[in-house]
Amino acid sequence: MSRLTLFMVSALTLPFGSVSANDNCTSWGEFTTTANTQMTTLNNPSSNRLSIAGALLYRPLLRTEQTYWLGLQLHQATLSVDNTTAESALYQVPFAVKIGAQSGQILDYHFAAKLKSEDEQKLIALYQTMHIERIKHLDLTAPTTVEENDNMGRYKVRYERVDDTSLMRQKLVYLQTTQGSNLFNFKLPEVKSDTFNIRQNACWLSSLEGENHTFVESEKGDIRINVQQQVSFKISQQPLPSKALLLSLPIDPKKWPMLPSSVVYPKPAPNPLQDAQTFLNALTAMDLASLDEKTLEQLLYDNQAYLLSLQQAIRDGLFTDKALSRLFLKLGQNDTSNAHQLLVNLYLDNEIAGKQRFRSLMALKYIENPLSEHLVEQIFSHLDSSELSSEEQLLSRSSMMVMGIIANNQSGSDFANKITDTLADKLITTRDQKKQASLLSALGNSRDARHQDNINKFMSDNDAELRRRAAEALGKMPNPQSLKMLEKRLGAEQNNKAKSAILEAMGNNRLDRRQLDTLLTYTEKSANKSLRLSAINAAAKQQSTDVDVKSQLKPLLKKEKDREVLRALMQAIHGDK
Amino acid sequence: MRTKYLALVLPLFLTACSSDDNSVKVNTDNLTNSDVENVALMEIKNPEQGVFQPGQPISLDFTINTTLLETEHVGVTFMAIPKDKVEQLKTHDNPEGYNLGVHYIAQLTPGEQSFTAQLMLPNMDMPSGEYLIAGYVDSARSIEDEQDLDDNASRGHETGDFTTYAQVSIDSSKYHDFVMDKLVVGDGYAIFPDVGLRETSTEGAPEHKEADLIGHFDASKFGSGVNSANVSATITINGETLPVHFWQEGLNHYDDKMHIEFKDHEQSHYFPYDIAINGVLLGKLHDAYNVDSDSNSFELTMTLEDTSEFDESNTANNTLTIEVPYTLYKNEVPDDHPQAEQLNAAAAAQANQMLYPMAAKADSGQVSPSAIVIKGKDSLLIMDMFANVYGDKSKVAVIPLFSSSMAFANVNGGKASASAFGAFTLYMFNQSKSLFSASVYGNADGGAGTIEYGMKASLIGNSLIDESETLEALNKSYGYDWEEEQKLFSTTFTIVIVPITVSAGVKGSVGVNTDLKYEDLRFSIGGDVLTASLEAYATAGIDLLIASGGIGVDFLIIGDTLTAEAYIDISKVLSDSELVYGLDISNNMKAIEGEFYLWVKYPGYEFCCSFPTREATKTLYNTGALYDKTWELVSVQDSLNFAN
Repeated sequence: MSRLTLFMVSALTLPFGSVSANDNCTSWGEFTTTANTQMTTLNNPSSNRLSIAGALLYRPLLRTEQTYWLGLQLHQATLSVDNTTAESALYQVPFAVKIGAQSGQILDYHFAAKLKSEDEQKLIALYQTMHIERIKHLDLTAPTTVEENDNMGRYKVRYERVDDTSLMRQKLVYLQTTQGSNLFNFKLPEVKSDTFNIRQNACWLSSLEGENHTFVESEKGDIRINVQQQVSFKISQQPLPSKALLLSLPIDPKKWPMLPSSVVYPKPAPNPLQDAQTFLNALTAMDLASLDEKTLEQLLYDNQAYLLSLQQAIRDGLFTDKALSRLFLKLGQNDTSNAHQLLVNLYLDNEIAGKQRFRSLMALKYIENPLSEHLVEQIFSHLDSSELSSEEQLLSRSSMMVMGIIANNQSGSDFANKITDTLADKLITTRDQKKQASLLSALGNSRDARHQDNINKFMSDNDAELRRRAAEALGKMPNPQSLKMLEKRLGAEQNNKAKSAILEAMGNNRLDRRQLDTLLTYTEKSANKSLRLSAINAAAKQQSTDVDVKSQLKPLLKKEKDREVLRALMQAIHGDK
Repeated sequence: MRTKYLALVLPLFLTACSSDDNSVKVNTDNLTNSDVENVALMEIKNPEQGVFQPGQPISLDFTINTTLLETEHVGVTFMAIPKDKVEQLKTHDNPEGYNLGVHYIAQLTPGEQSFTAQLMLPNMDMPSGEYLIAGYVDSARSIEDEQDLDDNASRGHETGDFTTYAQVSIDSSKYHDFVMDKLVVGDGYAIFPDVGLRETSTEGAPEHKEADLIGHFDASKFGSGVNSANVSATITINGETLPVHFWQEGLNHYDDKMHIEFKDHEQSHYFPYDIAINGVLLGKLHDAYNVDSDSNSFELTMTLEDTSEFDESNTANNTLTIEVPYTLYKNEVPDDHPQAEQLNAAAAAQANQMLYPMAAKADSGQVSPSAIVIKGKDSLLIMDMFANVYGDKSKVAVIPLFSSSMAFANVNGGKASASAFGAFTLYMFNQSKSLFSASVYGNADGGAGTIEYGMKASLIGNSLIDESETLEALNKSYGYDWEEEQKLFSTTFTIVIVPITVSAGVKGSVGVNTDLKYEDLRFSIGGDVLTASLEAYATAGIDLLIASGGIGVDFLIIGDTLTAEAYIDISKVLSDSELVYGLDISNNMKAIEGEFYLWVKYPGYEFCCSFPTREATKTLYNTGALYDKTWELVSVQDSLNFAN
């Protein structure tokens, strides 16, 4: 086994703390699922077989009156695609499902790693097959048909009790599709067959066995996908695999430490060139502006150990402007600790042109791994440096906005929380209005609603620019509390720029009738143009939830003459979307 | 742009229509007694129509016989080859044939099964003559351990047995048919200047360069002989029908027709259009407009015109008409202009006295079709805005929005302002994202001798630069450009556990390059307010699995430079009662070029000898022309003397 694999396995198995899974309901069983997929694109058929297997751990977690969390982990998961089998770090990531105590419905998921959204869906799909919490709330004295959701759409499902501990579940038909994108433009999925025999115990499942056959076809029939899946889970009486990470995680999933991405998405070891000079020679000999993307990414990845040598090379002007433009982006995407260090060094290096320093900030937007504390401190300290040139002041303010973006990229992590805590702390402590303005924008970029109270304090600041920025920031974290803050300020605000920002920000929320009516008063011809425009744009966003908006906006066409406002009106009334 | 690496063979392979009609007729009496697993091609019937032309659909009835197999998901591939070259199917890796497509069989059933394959003759040059159409069952080798592979293919021509071939004649004369499939106006509506903003008397092609209507149509062409056509359009309003004019790509002017070309081997095309209307038509739109109506509309008709020497087979499908709601704008003086009352009075007076008094005129005499200039006795307002939808929102579209303004009021030593703004909104698959925006402004206060300025840049809803300050002197340069690669839309859904991932985004460069100066009571903005060169990409397909397929997008969505040169000099306001000003905003834009395609990787049968993995694409959408245009949004240099 390679060193990397050993590390990966150990990170997914070694406990963060002591084993605390003494709950009687914690259990595990052998889980296997196999899916045979037949796909026809442009009438050309192809077939594949995907299997996933492992020890599925189940652990009840935090419980409140309204909700409870269930923890799951597919320990020692193996993934087989056709005849190739491999251990899958991704499928081994512990995750938790939040269930409504009264309804048994799924309310939320939480993962012990920052997963790509597509990978979250893979784990969710595993759980959805096993989801039986809803059943506990159904009267199954007679066969019952109810509606449920999965990530394909809403469907009808029939439950029938077989005996005291077992029942049969049959998915009958999809009623609607919930696709996140129209790209495939699929027709309603067709359930060819779906029958599962479920045996419950006092805690969860003692077994689940069954198969599903689903057919999905694109609107024009260009793509057809036919999947037949078998699923089997049988509870084991053997001791719990004590090394499974789920067993040692805190009972509150929100307090779970996050697995590093290097564990979940392991990469092969870099294969560096002989030394830094050889790397620089190779890089400068290439036309970076037109170099194949993958080649440049691989070169930087393999030579991550030498990345810091690029600072002097950039100072020495060894790269053209176009080459640098490309290089910065790829350094940001490289996301290794040396790339982080290099980009921060370049940003702080006043011997380098402002344009390149700005590019290093733009590259930092791409990082998805935490910056080291030392680098974070350097970036924040720069904001407070005295005697910064005019351009450096601009760069330092933009750097705060970039920190907000970085925090949003890693939202929910300890690192992101530390960043936004620091931004909020600086916002409160600094007296410099320009810094305050930048910090408000930075917190807006972070979308971290934990700090909306701090932002709200600036909604009544004497400076209209700060009020505008605060409104914009609150608009980026739509929720009932931030909406209330915006609404409260709307009537009192006298500055048109700030008021426009409030209206636009309110539009990002789902408004009730009263709030919408308030908004619509600003669409009247008597209002200032920028307010009319903002109010119409905000009202237009409510169309998906309030069909009446169109009819309320239509009469305005008779009075409105301003081109920009008319365009917004026509868009809201006649536009495609 | 994606390489057309399969240009010769694969597009033909992809022309098969979907064959939902697996009209299976099982003849169980004919079951063979053999106990070996096998499938054999038994017969391909000659089609009733004996003569075909390239680009024509063709239906073929064929029969197979299956023994001990119930294999699902089987493809049958077809190829047409000149009769005298049919031997090449056995001997050549690349026979001189033409792929007609694949027929999909959901499941084999023991015994005889008959099907009808809906295929397409390639839309390319095929020499006239006698052809044989051969077939091969199980083109992806889905059947494991089949006993006899020889009888999967057409066979027997050596002995004069053509049972497993269809015999057809190809006539490569100039058959062709154009079809107008869909007509769309940008966002589904139109906005024109109201009375007084533009002349309403000229006929013929307008001289201005700014578009009045942007949109697209989808058109198809069948047949290989003729690959180009003209397009004409009219607007019908109040029962009167008048022609509109198309931007001439590369010629830099509007004319009465647009020439379009259909690329080879593809039947479905997207054609963007850029239309201007002349003064007379604008006047008719004014006349017909009912201010008390909830909705005003006109009819837009577009027609494909055959220009070839050969007769088009069907001209009834060349025209489409749609109803387009419209409104009229007449920009008014903002309430917060210090001399709004005076300017409003001036605007009213101008509107009553002159033919098109508020249109901005450049030094060249070129009239801006949309900018508004209102001059009061000692006040000024210039405004301009441009916004349009380029592309198809259900696939890929971009909405550029540019606005600029300049204002002056002779109060408290003179108050002057100038601003420029640009933004792009991206649409992919009916979902929208604010892509990139940048703006600059300055408000000069002659009495206080100060300038309040602001500069902003924002990417995908995130502020990157947001500067503003009030100073006594200003000399700032913002010269930043950088590369971006952003995934904007991504979703995964799972068909049970099989994940399908859809993602789309943009890559390219964006930037700002603006100088702001305020010195000796003269404020200026210079440079590129915003630059962008962005491509869209999208992928969708089965994740994890080896053989795969999906949808791809390669589009240039926008290449744009919005340039502003603005100056407003209030140094002589107090001494000489004079204001000197200039506002030049021009835009260079390329938008929406590329394609939207289906792709598939599959094991495919080469008629001769092998089953290599192939990759194929089918273009679903391809821009037929590119928007590439430079025009002045507003161009004004003048002075305002209010000494008397």
